[in-house]
Amino acid sequence: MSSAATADLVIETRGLRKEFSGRRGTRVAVQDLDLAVPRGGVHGFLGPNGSGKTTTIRMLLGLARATRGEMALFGTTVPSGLPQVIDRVGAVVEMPKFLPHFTGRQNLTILARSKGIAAERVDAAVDTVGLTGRDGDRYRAYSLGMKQRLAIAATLLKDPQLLILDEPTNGLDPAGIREIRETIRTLGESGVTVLLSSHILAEVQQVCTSATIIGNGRLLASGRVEDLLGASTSYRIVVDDPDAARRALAEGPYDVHTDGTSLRVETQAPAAEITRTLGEAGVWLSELTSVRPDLETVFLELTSQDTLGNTQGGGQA
Amino acid sequence: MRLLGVELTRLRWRRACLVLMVASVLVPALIWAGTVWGTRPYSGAEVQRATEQAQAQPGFDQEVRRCERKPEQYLAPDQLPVEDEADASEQCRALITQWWTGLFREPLDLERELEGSGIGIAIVMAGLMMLLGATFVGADWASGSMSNQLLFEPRRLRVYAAKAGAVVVTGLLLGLAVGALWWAALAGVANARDLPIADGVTGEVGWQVVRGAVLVAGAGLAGLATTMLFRSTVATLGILFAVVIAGTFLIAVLPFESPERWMPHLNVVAWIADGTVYYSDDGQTCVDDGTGMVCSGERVLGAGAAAAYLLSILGAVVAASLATFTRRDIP
Repeated sequence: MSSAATADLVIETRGLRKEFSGRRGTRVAVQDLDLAVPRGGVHGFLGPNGSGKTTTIRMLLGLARATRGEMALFGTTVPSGLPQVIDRVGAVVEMPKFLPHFTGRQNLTILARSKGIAAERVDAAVDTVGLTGRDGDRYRAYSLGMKQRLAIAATLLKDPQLLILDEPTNGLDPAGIREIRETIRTLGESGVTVLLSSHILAEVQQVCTSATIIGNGRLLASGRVEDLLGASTSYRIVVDDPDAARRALAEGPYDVHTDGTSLRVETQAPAAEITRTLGEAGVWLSELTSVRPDLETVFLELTSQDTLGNTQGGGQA
Repeated sequence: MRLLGVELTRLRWRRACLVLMVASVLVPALIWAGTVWGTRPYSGAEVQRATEQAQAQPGFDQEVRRCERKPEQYLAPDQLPVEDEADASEQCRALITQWWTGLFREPLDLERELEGSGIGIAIVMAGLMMLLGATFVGADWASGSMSNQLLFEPRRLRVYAAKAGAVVVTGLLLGLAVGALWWAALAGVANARDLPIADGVTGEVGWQVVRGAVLVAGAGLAGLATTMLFRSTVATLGILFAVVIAGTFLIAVLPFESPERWMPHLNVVAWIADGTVYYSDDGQTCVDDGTGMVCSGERVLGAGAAAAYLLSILGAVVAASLATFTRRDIP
């Protein structure tokens, strides 16, 4: 799966599929997923619970076996080539997982030694995530937030070029969330590619430069965050004669909905086109507001459509 | 080698493993103390007091006279035939005195311990090491830290080999060290008591220590492999319990000829003791000893055959756990 086209992609999957077999039959967790994460920046990975985000991440990291499809990290096919690229990848998958009777430092030291990483890097990682002074405590005594910090410290041991973080702010207090968000943003700006799987959409919108949205294991949308938000720009207009305005706009590339006393117009056209169309029809605007959707709106719209589609088409095999 | 070092460190830092290693030293130490205590020589005062008490009991002289009349019913075959009456009287008096005093404590005999407590410490250590192997990797599965480890070293075969290597190395070193110390301490006691050590016993002890250490290491590997297969320490303990309880019954009812030969515990003993004798009801060999047909089901199970049997079981478990570990998804 190595080609010129993939040279600038840190993560790439093609036709990725994962099926789980059980007593109740086969369940498809990921189906024909084409994922492309460009080098550098923070890439959001969004999807409702059970949409296949974690399964996809686990397949990329060799923890789960793909039923079908191809995957590559840094242009190297995985899982076969994982040993060649794993030193460039740091990851937190789902909840932090460490030995409970070991101290935080012992857990990090064991992982560092397995890669011949110097003890100084353990100190640096502990310091970066703000666990200095508590690293000698047993892991089982940590709060969830401290466990998350330790997991992030573990990813920093290898000085990774790709950081895969699955819900990294789970259990953190607001200050902790802000710190981690800043850490992620700083890492993204420093050239590290961060794949951020999160259900906190405001967080993704704040730190991500690009995003992929999946539902029922399928790709729903992918691209720059700006593009994803702009794809369904709408305007709220207030006019004296809503019926006349509706008739005038119906002839153009507009999708018009009544929204209380105002109209909501969805279009790819610029606002000037709306004023011109209405002016030519003798309808005069008293108010025009660009209603820019947030990522949550886009996400809910896409995933609800997918749920409907899935109900009709079936997402299970 | 680096991964092996990491796993040895992980094992050293695991408190449950440390407790089991300490138990592997303490339990043999207790067995040693029991052996030393149970073979302590009687003091002269003890012997004299017991003798006086025995000979003062009513019926003692009558029992001696009965022995003198029919020495073949009392004395051991190597004491027969008795040359003269004085000898018979002396031997019978000594024998009846021993019986009536209850001074039956045998002196320390390393050759006898080879088939007794020597086997015992190897089996106890093997059981503890099996628990150690199980709990060592069981914690990785229970905490989910196995996935963390694989994010640093994705080559699962290497991870498995390092973990197995750590348990085998620990088992071998512990088995050799504890076994050697145990026997050295016992020999020291025999020496202090001026008890002779038969020719060749030292060599047999050495080989038993080696075979015991191999058994201990193999048991650790079996515990680890079973837990890697079922991904749970509890499951491993359940399997062990089932093997001990149900396995014995199962083998007994299966249509094997001489099912005793397939009992795991018999094979373990045969391996440590360099062969053992067992009895089977199937295909008894009968001979006419002049008084009639005497049948015996006595069979010998050699160390080689026992090793082949135990290695087959261990190999099957390791192969199955290795196959599942390298192929199944990691939670």
